Amino acid sequence: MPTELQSRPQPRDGRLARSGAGELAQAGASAAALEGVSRSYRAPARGGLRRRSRGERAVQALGGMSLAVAPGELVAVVGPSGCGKSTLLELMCGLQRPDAGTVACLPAVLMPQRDLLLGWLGALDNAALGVRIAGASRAQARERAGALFAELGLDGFQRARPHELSGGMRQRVAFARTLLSGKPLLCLDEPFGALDAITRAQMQDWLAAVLARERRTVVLVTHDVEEAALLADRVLVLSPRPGRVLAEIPVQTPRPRARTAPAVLEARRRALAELGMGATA
Amino acid sequence: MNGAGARARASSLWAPLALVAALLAAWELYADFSSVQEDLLPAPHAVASALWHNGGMIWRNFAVTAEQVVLGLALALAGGFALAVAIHLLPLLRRAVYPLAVGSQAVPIPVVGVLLVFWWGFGIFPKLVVIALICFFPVVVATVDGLASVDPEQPKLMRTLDASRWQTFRFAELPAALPAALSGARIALAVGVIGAFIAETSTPTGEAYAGLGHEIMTDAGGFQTPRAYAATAVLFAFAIACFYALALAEHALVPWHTRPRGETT
Repeated sequence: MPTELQSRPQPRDGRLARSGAGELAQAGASAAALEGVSRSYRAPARGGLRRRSRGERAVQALGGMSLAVAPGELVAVVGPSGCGKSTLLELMCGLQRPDAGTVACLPAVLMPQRDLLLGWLGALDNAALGVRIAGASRAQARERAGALFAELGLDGFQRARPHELSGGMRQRVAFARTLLSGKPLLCLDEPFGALDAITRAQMQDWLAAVLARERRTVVLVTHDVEEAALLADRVLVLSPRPGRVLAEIPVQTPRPRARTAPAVLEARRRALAELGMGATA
Repeated sequence: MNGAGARARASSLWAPLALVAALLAAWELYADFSSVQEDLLPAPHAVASALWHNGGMIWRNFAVTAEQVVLGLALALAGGFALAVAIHLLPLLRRAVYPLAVGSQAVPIPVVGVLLVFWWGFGIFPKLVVIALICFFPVVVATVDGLASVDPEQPKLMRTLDASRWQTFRFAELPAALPAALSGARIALAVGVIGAFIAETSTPTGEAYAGLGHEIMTDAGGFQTPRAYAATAVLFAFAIACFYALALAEHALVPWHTRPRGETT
């Protein structure tokens, strides 16, 4: 359960977040903790023109959301569409501030739904983007990314531009970029949502294998209950908007797991039941 | 590229050449057999003859004009690009400067031509300013739109990678804007040659060879119509050559922009 944390405004700047989080890590607390977090955003009123004068409505994305993620844990967050899953990740990454409640996280990096690879860079340079931003030279950045490429199954694609890569390969490059940022907390926003079913299944196995070697703390937002049950140590089921945690389903079976493993099927059945989709597994 | 590509390019040259030949033939027949006088419309053979007999003079004037076009366009591209970047980074500047930039396109150049000469003398610089004034606008508009075309999620990703505003600009926005900026440059280039003509005819000059625009105006007023047409033909060809030179530069500058056919990203 979430530990009580000192109220600390979430800084906009990642560098500030890092220094604050250092204390957190020393204290041996969770990698990420949200306590009673609410967050609304302004959306254009339905039917109106997109002008402020025509009125906006406040949409409450999260209401009284609490969760804690232990270091090294992989937590999957599932919920109906529009339940504030993406808002949750942006709060953890310091891209938004909560309206109420506290957010305290280790430095987090976002892997957005779309891969957002840069079209003018090859796969290696795209993966190394965070390293270059941190101040490394192009050669150094390439060296660091190159060391990871074989491990991620990207060997031979170093120079390929994003438009030359398949959807699955693009996600691998995007994940490499996320890993290479060096941040302890990875926020994955439906990373495989846009892939076809077969590629998605392959990528899920791939991610399980990679994370077994590269131990990180991961928050995985997904709409795929099976994906959550297959990959996560713990599945959190969110309510419809405003989102809060409805249920917490531990999946206590070592990875890699078979899709048909009893623990996976059971977690999946429970999550679906919480989402109101009956007990048909 | 490869042999098939070169062959395709060579065969694609036939269509424009055939069209030019057909137009020239029609023009020749019309000029020879209708009642239109040579002072009004010289036949192509008369234009060719004027070009042949005045080659030295036309060449020297062309060199003057070509220098103006190239330098004037460079000024327009550099200035337009810099202004677009400033507008992108400072929204306040956008509101303040955009209307003025639009308005600047309505200013008839002869109104300010003499003033520019008063400021900077009879040399080449006032003419470059005129060309830049005429050409910078499409560069600004296209580049501003290009800079704003970045996926709205991209800055968020850059921020979680701890990118500064400058790094987001340098890694994400600037390269994304380059193809658009080059499209703007192509439009600028298309009006650059007529811009040089306007520059030459609206700023007083004291030189013997003052450019093709100057020569055309003198010849057209002095019943030297074939020579005016010959000079015009040179400008015509020069504009086309510039356009394709930029297309080549584009290929080298934004190689990622030439995608396989049918692919969208």
